[in-house]
Amino acid sequence: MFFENGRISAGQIYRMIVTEFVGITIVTAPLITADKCGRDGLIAIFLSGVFATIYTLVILKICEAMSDSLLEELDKRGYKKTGKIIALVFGFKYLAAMVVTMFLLANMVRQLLLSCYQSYFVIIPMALLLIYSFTMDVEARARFYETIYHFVLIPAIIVIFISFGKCDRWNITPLFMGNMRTTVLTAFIYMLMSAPAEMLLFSRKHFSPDKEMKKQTARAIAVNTLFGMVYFIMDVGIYGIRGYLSGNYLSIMQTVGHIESITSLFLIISMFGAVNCYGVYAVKMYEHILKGKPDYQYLCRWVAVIVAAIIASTGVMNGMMVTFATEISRRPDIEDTDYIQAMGIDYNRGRYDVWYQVANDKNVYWHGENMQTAAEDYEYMTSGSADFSHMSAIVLGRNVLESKKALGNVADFIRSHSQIAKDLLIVAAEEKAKDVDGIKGSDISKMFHGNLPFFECLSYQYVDVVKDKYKCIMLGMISGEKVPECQKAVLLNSDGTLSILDINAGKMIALMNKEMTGQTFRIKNVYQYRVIENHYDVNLKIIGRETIGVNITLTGSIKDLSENTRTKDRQLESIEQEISKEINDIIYKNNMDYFRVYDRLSVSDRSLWVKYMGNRKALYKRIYYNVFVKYHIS
Amino acid sequence: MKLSDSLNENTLVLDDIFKDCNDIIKREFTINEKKAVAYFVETAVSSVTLEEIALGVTDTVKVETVQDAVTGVLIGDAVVIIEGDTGGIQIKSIGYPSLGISEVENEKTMRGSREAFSESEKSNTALIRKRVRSTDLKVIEKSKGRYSNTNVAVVYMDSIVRKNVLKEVLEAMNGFSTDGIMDSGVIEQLTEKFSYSPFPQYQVTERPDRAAMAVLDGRIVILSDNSPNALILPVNYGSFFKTPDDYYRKFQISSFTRFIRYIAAFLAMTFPAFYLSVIKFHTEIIPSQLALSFSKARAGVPFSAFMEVILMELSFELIREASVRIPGPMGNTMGIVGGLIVGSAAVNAKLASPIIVIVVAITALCSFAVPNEEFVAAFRLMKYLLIVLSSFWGVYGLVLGLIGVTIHLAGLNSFHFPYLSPACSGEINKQYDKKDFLIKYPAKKMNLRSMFSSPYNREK
Repeated sequence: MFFENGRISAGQIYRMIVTEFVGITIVTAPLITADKCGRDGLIAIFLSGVFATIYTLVILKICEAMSDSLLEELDKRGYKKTGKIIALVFGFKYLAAMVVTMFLLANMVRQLLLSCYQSYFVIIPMALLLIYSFTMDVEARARFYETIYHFVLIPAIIVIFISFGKCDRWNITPLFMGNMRTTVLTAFIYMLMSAPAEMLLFSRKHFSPDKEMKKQTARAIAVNTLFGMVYFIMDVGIYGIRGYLSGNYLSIMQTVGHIESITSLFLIISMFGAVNCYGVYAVKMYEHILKGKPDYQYLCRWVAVIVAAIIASTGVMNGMMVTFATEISRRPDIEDTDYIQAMGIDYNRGRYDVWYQVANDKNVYWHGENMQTAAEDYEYMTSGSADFSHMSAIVLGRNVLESKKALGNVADFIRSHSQIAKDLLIVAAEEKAKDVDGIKGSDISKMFHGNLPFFECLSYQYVDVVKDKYKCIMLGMISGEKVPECQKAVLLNSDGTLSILDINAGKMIALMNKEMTGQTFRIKNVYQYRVIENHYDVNLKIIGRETIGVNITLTGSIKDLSENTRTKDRQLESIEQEISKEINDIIYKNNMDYFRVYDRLSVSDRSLWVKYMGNRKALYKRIYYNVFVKYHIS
Repeated sequence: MKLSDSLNENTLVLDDIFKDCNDIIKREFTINEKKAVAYFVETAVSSVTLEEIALGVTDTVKVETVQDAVTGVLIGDAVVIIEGDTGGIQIKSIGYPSLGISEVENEKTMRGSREAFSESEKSNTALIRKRVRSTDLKVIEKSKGRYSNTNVAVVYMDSIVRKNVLKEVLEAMNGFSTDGIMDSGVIEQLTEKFSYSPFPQYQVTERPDRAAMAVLDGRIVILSDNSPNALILPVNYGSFFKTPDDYYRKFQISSFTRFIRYIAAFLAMTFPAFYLSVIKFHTEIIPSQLALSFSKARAGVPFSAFMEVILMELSFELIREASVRIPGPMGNTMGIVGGLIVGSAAVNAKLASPIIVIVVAITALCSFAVPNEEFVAAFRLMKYLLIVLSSFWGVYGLVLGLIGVTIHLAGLNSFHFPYLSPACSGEINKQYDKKDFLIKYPAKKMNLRSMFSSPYNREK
């Protein structure tokens, strides 16, 4: 009748295209384009939008010449075989896109919401819902997307506003840096992968390709492109290009925090829309291929019924399995969960001493030889389930910081518990973590957050610029008197190393890493030079055209030197050379920018920084390290 | 079989038909020196009517056949057969006894009329006519029900209604057959297209002012004898959130209260599921102190959170049903006692936590805030589905459930009007209906009728 005429309006198509594809655009566009083009990914996204718009207008022009869908039109004009080939190709594309998007969605749900679940458990209810949605006609689909349009767009915009505050402007600029050819090619390939408007070819009878339709489809593509570009800027702005690429596509969601990450639910809706869209058109393609073959259609009907029955029954079986075999049956209720507010970790001769500060003012002590069993053993000890999602601080004893093994183990522990919040505070105790166990985790948090204006100016911003992959990384020294000892910030790097930043001096003064900390140098099998403190004073100097000199002053202590002055001087000179060589070897062997030369260049020599933006390896070759060793004789 | 001009023949036939129908009275009398016999249902025809018959001042319809005469008697009129006249005369009367016009019970408003429909179709028609005093208001009466011969009236504004919709409604009314119609709900169930959907495709009202506003908006009202509820169609999602006093009060207040209703409907469906998913799966989104508070509140409760939610919700449904069935003041007492039992005693006995009592109470309040009981009943059903999904998959399950409900609603329509309009398909009326959707625009800005009205007569 008048509204049930099988036709959808231009406005509905606009909302369909935006709602179905904004989620996947946000997720894939920044990552793909950044991976291929670096900072020029922004241009690539823009260009892909332009190409998609042109492509769409061409499609609509073709549609003007047709009264039915492309496949029907080819059949009418005697090109049945061509039609079937087109249906096969596009069918495969849509099927692949549907499967990939479904797994992207499952991965997202597992990462953000249900870490205990396997992907297929998460996919099954989605598949059942998809089968239900496939029974709806095109008008019902259009109404569905039209209705949820705002429920997708508004959270996407909220995430933008929250995240922009965390961006570092140095990461965002400059643009137009890379290879134009690569950028254009990437834009073109991305457009082909994601052009939703080509589905208009197969839905011709449901709309009129008039001026309004052209305007609305172009508008939809523009909106999706704009979202892709904005999210690109945000992702790079927060993590930097390298940090973003070494993360995953969900990093932006985790950055905005726990409550705000619930706005990521809009991604579930939008990606469901994308899966639904691809699925519907894949089914259309295969229906066309099998059209006119009654035996096959009969067979397909039975196959569809059997598949649906299998999914439904496995859905029921899996529902039961989910009940008995997965976390749901073992998932502790809230009253059986202990919320850990802080942890203190000491390391002593291969043993970890850990105290847990639990939310109900209970302290629990544990010791073991491996931090990985710390959480499991807690449950055995207390019969309560440890929940780290409300943990506000970890206090590391000095002996942990000085042991590369312990440090690595603690870093692995933090990484393996994804529920640990991004804003976790990692604090160093002056001596032992146990000494500060009288201070509550919330107090530690308040103590440092109260001083954050100092940290924020330098360390927080510095942390964001440096950006490790995982956790918040700001560490200060505290003593038993509940006062931050000094304005230092320590960074837990992604490779498990720590760097200490002196806020007052505004420079990196120490580097403790797995190779350096606690290491004992034996010099010519005679002397033992043990590094008990690492202070690095880093000065950059541009030598010649582009050679960068980095002067590093290492302070350490030495024992067992000769009493004789001349011999002692020779020994010291020899030690200095040996240590310089060791440090240079370590730096060049690992090929890592330990001293953040690249970021320092952004402040001191912008043009040089811009030049090496896309090619850091070339920069490393230009750095020359001068190591000066100062020592205390112990 | 036609009525003859012989009084004896006609009375013999009718006496045989009405044999053992002791409530149908046969009265013999004389009109203008001619013998006449009147048949009528004793309580349906008043003595006033009989006097008017004697005076010859009555509202009459000629009946030609025996069947018409029988039908006339059965619908509560009097049928008079006169010696020498072919056929008979059906004389309109007050109709069967009914409750009469009472005060609105289920659709109370702050402002507006307090009248409610009665159980007489004629009275109800008159109540609408009282508010729409125009010959454009048409009333098509039909007799439905093989044995009940219930009077059913289709009321509409001739110049405003969409003729296609009217035609379809009349076809739907003619398209079913049943023994009897005891309430308009029977008509609703026999004519609705999506029988398997829990969401209503008709709007039910006991308010004449709402029915009058509906006809003025181009919609159709169906009235039925024996039913104080009128059916309004077509409907959309937004219809169920509107109350008559939205149009009697200032737009700011109306908009605010309407927005509250939308939130209430959403919470009525999702709040228990959301609570369950947060405390089971996503405790990190709530502050530590609140998590601790929940933990302490639930300490000692022997049931899992899922069982607790289900048991409390079902208990509340029991109380709701019981208080409806129990007559008079005892119903109110039952509500109070039930609340005390479920709330206070269960918490003290550690059968339930205080938090769940609050959750259930808020959910119940939200369900009462939605003006249409049939509509919110569908939400109450969906609530249990979402609770189950949340217990398995947390917020992900909740979102999937909401997507499923939205897909279902997107596929519904009411006489071809999309159920989710005006959130979708707004271009039917150039997005005008959105002025009276989530919020309500000032009356001066609303100079067009809604999408339900004829496109050729939209201006008010």
